[in-house]
Amino acid sequence: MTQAYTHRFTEVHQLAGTLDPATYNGPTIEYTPYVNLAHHQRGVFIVQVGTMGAASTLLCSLVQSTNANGTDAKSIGAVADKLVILQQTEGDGNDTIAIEFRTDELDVNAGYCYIAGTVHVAGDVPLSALLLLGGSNQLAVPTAMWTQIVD
Amino acid sequence: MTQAYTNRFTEVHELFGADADAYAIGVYAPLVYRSMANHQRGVLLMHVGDMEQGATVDLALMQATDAAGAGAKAIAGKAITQLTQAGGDAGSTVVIEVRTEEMDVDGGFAFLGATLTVAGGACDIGIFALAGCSNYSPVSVTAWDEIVD
Repeated sequence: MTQAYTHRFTEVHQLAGTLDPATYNGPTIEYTPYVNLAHHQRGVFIVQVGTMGAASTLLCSLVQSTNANGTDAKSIGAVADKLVILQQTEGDGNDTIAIEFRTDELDVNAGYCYIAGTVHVAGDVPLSALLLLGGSNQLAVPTAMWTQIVD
Repeated sequence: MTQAYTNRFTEVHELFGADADAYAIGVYAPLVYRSMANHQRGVLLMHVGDMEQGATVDLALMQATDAAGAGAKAIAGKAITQLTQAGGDAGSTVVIEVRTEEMDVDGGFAFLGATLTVAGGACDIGIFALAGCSNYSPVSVTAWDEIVD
């Protein structure tokens, strides 16, 4: 089952968080807002990297928590399960990565129903990131985070 | 019909292109022209960060008859309202949706591209282009450098 022709992308995928496009000067850790997955069964964290500074590294991952403040934040499964490491020395500049997740991968038995995308930057790394939620229980999803939708 | 639980995002949405950088004043083609033959819908997402004083950003979808951009022209109604630093538009996230039926298919325009215009000052910009509603899935994932699932 693919995206239906009659559905706008923005009707079925909720923009839930962003990391503003900028050159991030590490060491720094940045998070999208923690968002509730109560109405979604899937999501994806997409990160686009520009030309990485010399010897810079970027760790992209997802974290789960029990509320929107990030309480008791922890990784989803093992740390390495939802982790991408990009290194300038490995030629990873201008990479585009996607980290997919399903709600059944969260620690729902312990009340973990919030998720955020995060990046750990060392050195200078230009990047832009989007957290999109799909597999929604109710359509159409909110569009409040979009500044403009042209259709 | 929403995204199915059993479908990865990257199985149903093909990455057509992406970039994140500081854009100086100029006119850019942020996407290589890509065929929409296997897709019925597409979307171009742009996120604007800091804008220098007086900066403006325009983004529009383009169509062409081949991957080299032959005959490139605008798709009617597929341009954003100009973002302006003076208007407080830094930090904006915009999206342009398109259906293949909105392209000039009778004229052979089956390739999708875009034009990005930065004027007045430099801007930090991130762009993502995705094609969905595919005739055959899973779609190609070769444009992604890494997918974690």
